[in-house]
Amino acid sequence: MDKADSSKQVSKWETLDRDILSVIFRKLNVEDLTMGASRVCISWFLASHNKSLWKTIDLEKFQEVDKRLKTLLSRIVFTENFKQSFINETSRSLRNITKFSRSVPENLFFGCCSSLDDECLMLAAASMPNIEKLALPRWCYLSKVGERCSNLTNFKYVGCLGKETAEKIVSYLKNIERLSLQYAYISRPGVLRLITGLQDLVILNISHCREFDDETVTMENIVQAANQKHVQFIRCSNNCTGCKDKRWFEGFRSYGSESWRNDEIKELEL
Amino acid sequence: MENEKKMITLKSSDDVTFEVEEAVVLESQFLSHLVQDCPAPEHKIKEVTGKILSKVVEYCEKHVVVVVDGGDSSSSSGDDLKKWDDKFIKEMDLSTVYDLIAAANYLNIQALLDLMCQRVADVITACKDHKEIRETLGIVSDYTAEEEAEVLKENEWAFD
Repeated sequence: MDKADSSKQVSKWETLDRDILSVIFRKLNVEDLTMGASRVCISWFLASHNKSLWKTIDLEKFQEVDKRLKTLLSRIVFTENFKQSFINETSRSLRNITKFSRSVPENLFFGCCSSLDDECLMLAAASMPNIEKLALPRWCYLSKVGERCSNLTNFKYVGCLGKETAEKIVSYLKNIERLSLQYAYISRPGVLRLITGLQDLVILNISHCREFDDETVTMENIVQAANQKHVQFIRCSNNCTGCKDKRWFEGFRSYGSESWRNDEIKELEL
Repeated sequence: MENEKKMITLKSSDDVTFEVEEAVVLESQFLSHLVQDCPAPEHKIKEVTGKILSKVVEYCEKHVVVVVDGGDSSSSSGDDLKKWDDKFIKEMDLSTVYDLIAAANYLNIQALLDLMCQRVADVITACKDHKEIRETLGIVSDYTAEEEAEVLKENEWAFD
């Protein structure tokens, strides 16, 4: 860490041009921006509210890889207390962010290893009405059916998609047009439910997914349903090199990575 | 493409002169317009000191050479350039960083501005709280004690 002895006399960091401050602030993660930089002085406080900084909120960015792995390990011995504290953390950070972001955000990406529940999702929907793209963490505890986020049309999900989760997505996020489940852990009945349940769905990506064993629905059934509903259905080929030899938790690593941010659905590139 | 290299002289606010190839000057949007609009052999840049202009020239020369050499700047030269950039900013004190930000902004050299801003962002990230940021950058808070308490309360964000 440099100590800027000479800068104390000459440099006027507090009066730096707002646009330049924006360039600097854009390189910070959410935590350093809202709890560090914004508190330095009035000028920086105002600059940290610049709209251009809040169009995309990427909560993944503020968890270092080390912290992420540690979180992951603690998750393996999983208790209710853990669950609640993780949900609280997500909720707190969301509340804090909305003070800065107001209704600006169009893209919201939760951290892979964070958790959220109905309340978090509804808070996001209510305070950020212009969200178009949402990427949810692996642990979503959604139970209340009926509340929904009608503005959401693009949706990316990397968690487990069983029939139950599919049911919730159908009732919560009724207006989804583009849905990407790439790298997720999916069940075929769940995917089928999404195709039949989401009336506005135009494109669905299940590339690089792992599948639960399930005999009741075949991939043929899914393709047929997609054809019937004119849903464009994307999956990788059987000999996809990206999928070979991957263990199921590989998705953890792909979350937030380049390959995960890329998407066969152009609108869901992050 | 062109064999004859056109040379241009830049003069800083404190009359230090730098003779550079035209290609180097073109890294700066501001200077390329200046050179096109007024074809004088020497250009005085009143807003930038010799110390800072030498850094700007050093940066632009390095970046120009790499692009020309590699044709479409191959990946190895890209890596080298990144290493060079890292070294370039690591050796710099924050007061120089500040002046270079102002110069890069004035001369409109986007890549240099971005590099310098990254350095500041790294400095901020390394600080544990807003007080340390103030201390490191020599910023005097203009908050009153009440306002400061209010700001802290406003965005309290309890992370364990």
